[in-house]
Amino acid sequence: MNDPQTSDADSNDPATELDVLLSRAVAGDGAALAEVRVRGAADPSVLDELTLWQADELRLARVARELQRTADSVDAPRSRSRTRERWAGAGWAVAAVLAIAWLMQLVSPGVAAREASVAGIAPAFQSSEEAFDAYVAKAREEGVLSGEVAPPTLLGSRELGDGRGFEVVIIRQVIERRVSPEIYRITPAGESGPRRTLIIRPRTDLVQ
Amino acid sequence: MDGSAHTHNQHRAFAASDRPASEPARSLAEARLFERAAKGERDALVEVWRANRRWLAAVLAAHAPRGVDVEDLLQDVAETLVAKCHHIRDPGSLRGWLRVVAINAARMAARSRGVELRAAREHALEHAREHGLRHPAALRGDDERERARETLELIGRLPPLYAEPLLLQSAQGLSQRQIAELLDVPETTVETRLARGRRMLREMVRALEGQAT
Repeated sequence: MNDPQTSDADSNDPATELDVLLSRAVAGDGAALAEVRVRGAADPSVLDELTLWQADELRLARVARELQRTADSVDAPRSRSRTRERWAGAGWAVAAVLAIAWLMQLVSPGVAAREASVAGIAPAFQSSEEAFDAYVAKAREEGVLSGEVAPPTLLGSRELGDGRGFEVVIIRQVIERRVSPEIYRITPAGESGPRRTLIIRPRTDLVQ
Repeated sequence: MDGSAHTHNQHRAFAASDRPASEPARSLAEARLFERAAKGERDALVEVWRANRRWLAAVLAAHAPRGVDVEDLLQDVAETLVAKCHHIRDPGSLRGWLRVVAINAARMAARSRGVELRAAREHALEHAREHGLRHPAALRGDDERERARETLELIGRLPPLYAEPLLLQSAQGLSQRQIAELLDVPETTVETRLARGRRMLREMVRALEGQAT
């Protein structure tokens, strides 16, 4: 394996002999420590420097303990779960796929049941605003809703002409987080061929 | 440097490379462990990970951009090990491969948007320090951890070329020979980098202490 760092800097700017000696001494090399002491007898500043380097080793020892604490808190995951990478790389494709998945959910049989239940509780609400607010509150409680996109997007407006005011058409968007057992990707089969749907399931990369 | 000075503290992940040739049994055990891990056996994977995660934390700390949590990056490396361990044919190449994975994880993190957010948080902490406010860890009475974090920040300013061997030796107890083997450079190069790394750290600490007085 090649070291990704270049080693040119080492030859161009070598450490001083004293630095190498001090480095060895603080790393526990007895012979180097003895040599530093001999030099210190003639030049006390060498011993001062040794003291400071030893203090730095204590700093590094603290870092060691902290890093070990951190490392020991991370265990191997149970299985392959590189969700973040896979989704990050997919970008817009994932967004489109999620939209498709969402649409497929809308047309699935489960929707009818959901509509029925909404219909069942509808009389409790005095207005669509109230129903919407109740949905937001419930979805937040369930952790489905992250928030509402504000301000709403204005599509257009016109004066009603009967003195009642203006008709304003807006898009209100909410940010939802859903868990889907699988998602779909539409890909062309060839340069001019028909598109096909790939099913993406967790823990297997691509399954037709 | 005399590598034996660190023998008591050497990381078990490097035991194989430091062991005399008269200990083939242990090497065989490690090879078998790796083989089981490569087959996806959970307990073997866990053991391989635990044997390597501490020195990997040192590598990540040396290469991670400022403000990135080593813990997050370790998670990424652990996931890659689990996901791709079966691609490695030679157990001897595991450490080198893991190091490359760790460095790539650190580089990827540098490009991510999350770094900007975390860097902003670090900036806020720095601002707090400049104005005499203390890090939350210190407010909890955990001075030891705060000091470690401060030193780690200083080391983060060193070029990885110097920070990595320094952390591997000082923080993880690896010998020069082990570091040279991991970085695939001569021992003399490691010795020079260690000396320069320590000198640079000393100058930064000196500058910091000069500011404080």
